[in-house]
Amino acid sequence: MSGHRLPAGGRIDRTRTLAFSFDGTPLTGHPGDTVASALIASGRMLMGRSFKYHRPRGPVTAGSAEPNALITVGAGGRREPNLRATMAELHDGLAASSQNRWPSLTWDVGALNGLAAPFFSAGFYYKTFMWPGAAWEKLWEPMIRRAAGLGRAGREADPDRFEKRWAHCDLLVVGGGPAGLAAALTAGRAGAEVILADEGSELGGTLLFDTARIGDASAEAFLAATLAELASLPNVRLLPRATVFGWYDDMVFGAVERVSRHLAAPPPGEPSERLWRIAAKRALIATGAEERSIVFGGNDRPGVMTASAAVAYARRFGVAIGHRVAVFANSAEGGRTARSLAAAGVDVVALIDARDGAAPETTTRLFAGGRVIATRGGRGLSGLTVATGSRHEEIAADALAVSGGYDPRIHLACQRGRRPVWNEALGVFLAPEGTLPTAGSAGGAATLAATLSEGAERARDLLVDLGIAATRATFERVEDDRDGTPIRPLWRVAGSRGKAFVDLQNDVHAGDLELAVREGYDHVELAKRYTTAGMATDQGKLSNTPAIGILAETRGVTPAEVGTTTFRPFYTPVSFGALAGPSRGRAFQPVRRSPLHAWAERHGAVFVETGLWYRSSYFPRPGETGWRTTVDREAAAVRSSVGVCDVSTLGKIEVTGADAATFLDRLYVNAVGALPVGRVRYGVMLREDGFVLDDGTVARLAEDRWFVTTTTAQAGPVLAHMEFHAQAVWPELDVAFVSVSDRWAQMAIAGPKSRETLAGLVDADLSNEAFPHLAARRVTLRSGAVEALLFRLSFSGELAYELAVPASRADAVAEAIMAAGAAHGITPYGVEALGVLRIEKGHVTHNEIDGTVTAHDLGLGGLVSKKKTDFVGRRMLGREGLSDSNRRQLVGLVPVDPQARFRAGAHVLAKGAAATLENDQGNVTSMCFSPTVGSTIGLALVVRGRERHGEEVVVWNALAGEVTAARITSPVFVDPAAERLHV
Amino acid sequence: MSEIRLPAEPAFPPAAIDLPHRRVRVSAPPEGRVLQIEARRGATLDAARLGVLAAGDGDALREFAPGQWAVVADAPIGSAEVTAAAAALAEVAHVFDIGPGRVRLRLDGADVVDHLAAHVVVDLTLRAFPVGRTVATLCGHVSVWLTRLGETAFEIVAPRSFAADLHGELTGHT
Repeated sequence: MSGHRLPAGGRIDRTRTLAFSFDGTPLTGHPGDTVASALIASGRMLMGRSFKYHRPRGPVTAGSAEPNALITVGAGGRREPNLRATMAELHDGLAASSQNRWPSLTWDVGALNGLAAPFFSAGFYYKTFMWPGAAWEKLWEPMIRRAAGLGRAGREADPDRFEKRWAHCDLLVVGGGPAGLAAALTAGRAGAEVILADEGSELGGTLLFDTARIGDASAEAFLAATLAELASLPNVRLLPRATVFGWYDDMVFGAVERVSRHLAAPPPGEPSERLWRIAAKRALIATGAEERSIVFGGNDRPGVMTASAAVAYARRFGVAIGHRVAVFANSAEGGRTARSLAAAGVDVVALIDARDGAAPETTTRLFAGGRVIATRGGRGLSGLTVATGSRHEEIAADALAVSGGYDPRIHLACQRGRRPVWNEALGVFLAPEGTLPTAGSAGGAATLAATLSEGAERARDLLVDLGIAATRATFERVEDDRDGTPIRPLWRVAGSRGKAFVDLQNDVHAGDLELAVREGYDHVELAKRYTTAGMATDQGKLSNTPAIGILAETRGVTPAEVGTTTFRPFYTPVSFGALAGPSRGRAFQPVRRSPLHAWAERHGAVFVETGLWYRSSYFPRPGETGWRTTVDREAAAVRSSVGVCDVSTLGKIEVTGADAATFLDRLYVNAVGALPVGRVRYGVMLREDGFVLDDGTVARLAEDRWFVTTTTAQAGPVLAHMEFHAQAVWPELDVAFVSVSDRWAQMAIAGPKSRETLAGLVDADLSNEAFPHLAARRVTLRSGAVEALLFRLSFSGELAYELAVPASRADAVAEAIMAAGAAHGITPYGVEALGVLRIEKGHVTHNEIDGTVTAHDLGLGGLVSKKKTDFVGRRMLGREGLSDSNRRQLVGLVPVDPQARFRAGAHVLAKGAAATLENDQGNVTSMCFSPTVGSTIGLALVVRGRERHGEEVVVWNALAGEVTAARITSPVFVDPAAERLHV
Repeated sequence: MSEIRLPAEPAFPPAAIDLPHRRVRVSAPPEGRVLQIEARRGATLDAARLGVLAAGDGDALREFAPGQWAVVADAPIGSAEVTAAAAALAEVAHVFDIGPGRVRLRLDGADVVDHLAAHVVVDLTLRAFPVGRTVATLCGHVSVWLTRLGETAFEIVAPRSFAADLHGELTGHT
């Protein structure tokens, strides 16, 4: 055992004990502990195995940059892999397990990989495991992936709720350490709307464990007073456990709050995590700095960690990281660390200060100008070799706190394309000018006094910029502050023994970076990809700058010349649950229900998703053996008697204005503007490029009132098309229009008995003379009980009507129609039968209007007005490609053998032609079984199709393994003379 | 057949719902009337000019975009009244009856701002979104008009086809 709980101190609640387990072993901790601190307290520094070599690893941080101590927590749907033990808060009953080891963390077979290290050098997968060729995909890669890796994701659905929400503020302060608190205090006192977010479970940053004093107050007391004041300000929102992970357009920031992820289960009503989208007028990056490690041989043994982590464990969690702790540093941070640890009751046995001439500050033994060149130990550190000049000395130590300086956390400020700038004087990368402002150690400040001052000052400046008067908060003098002297980087210890790791998570050592340079991958982006330094869950938060330093040394250039890799969201991993928020399961996307949905449900409809709509697909009856049987029955009912179909999902647009007729004439290819009141006409719209945009109907209900329908799919795009032309192209026209798709429920009542059915309901003369084909009028139902619109339109080729009623009355009207048609055996039919009926009649939908067809291709060339001077798409109709005689044209297809079938999407080939791209003559766009024809029928777009009626072709579908002989026909299979429409 | 009187079906559940864990009540006012008023190009519309359309108790005007207004009311309207309204405003605006297609939902309660912040992007602070203001925005994925009726009271006007889904989303599918 090395780590242990100190007898006193820390912010843990020692009056309560929490039971938890690690790899099945029952352990205890206290509220306020993380899994890492509780494990260290129990003497367990070994928490994981490394990615490639399966080397034993312990925590090196006490925060979110942790590369080593990755664990899996929870079970079932709440199982979460790759949690940083240093961030996972302890709760009663928590079950944690280690990862990437077999059979156990202590005895891991994968550690044999270390023996094969020469085969696993940087870029090994480009050099080895190459033969035989097929083995890579089938053998080597799966094997390597099994052997190397992180935790495994659970397969069960997460039972918890995830939430998203928006927030708006004048100032977003990212980071709740001293700089952030000073900024929030300044802005909060000025009355600005402030959000202060911090990834930690507690706000305070280094104040949670700093030995400094602010005036008479300890850091902890100062923190408590500051938080109390902030909490009292209604304009300040404090968000602990909230990681701001990304900076996006328009000053929107993404943050994920672990609302109850740190508990065994969410309290009632609370989500597990909440994804914040914060629209901030200004933002201040007060994210602090990451302590930089020093690369030396054996620097990965459990027990070696950053100095600030060692102090945090001692002073925040009441845990000593070892019984004999050494400190290795290249700055005055070494002495400060030794003093902090000793004051907390930790036995510090040596201070190795790499600076020549470092003066003793404590009673701890000092190695001035010393370097750690090697470590000893099995699953934990047991000793060090310290070199001072040419003298080597062995030291017994079970923990080592290392400080190589501080790297500002500037990720957010650099996520939008701006590169960090190397500051030679400070030896750090800083955010460039012109991006988000930084304060405190995120901007390179070294001392607490400077950090507090900067936080307040930056906040005041930002508020003044917003026109908000503010006075910067001031603070008393800081005692026992950090030394502000810039730190000269010590990237690695020359001449050290053993693997000197740069990136602990990916097992990238200094030699790998040197190899990358030797092999030409010396650009920082290439070196990253070649060595994998800076990848995976920690994204190289600890390793990136040392890697750059080592690349610079190896190349003989400065870190400024090497530069950094690209910073992108997310700052730390974000769960898919948080990103999905409530949009999962049935809430994955909104559902649009027709006003006839309940009616259809009552009549047994099976629904099909059409975009967001749920449309009634077919209405099976008991005894029917399959959907085809049902659809055949429904289609036959329309042909022989009467059926009713919900067509409410069609787009409907009401158009008015003195220039409405002109406007519509310019949108449609045909002359709709001259339509008399009381009539409806089929219409086709083109895109600017001459291809068909959509088809529908145009009805004139009054001199200045038009009712336009679109297809279901194009309801939105057509409205946008109209808006664009009304606003941008012809703003001089007096026209206004709104979508009334939701206002009107619409039903098709089709079949020879449709007139008789409606006659009992509609207060109007529906005779052929009084209400002929393509009539359109306002009517009332049931002696004026309901106002409705009635159109004599047919998509089936039968006598048919479309009745639009207020959506709120749809259900009742549909039932009334069912009752009125009962004597005729009225049959509800769905979109499947609708499809059969329209294919039989040769009517097109967006199966055919696929963005590549002209009106002429569809056989609708006759609609295109030759009289109108202009309409959208007209100019392009004369283009060579659009009038080419070899274009594909709409035809019908029937199998030569009536028992045979083909499918939509199949290609059409000339009989005897080879199935090649060059021989492709078109494709089947729609198909169905036609009860009327008695076989499969289809619509197809075929080269020069209209000239080829009667020709036998081959319908070729290699995906389904089907080759069907078929004959090209007219696309109209039923009533080609259209006599039934006019009865 | 004559016993069928063609009654209207409400888009939202008629009973108000008090959300668990939050001081928010979700209720649906009568569907009544929703007119959309589109200003003619160059014409200026204001509440005084449109007052003729919103003279009754519970009638209200909503300006949801420049030159675009809505009239919401508890009482329904017939086509003759719409025609009359259109005639009265013919010089300055076009009038559309969109009533049955747009339905109203009301949210009240101390936690309503917090609750809505999970659904709408709008800054709901009183400073940015005072009482009486209407915006066209998204509630989840659904296009709506959002009006602040009081410090802790809001109205959402939504397309009818999304009503059930929206109600479920706003009430946590209770």
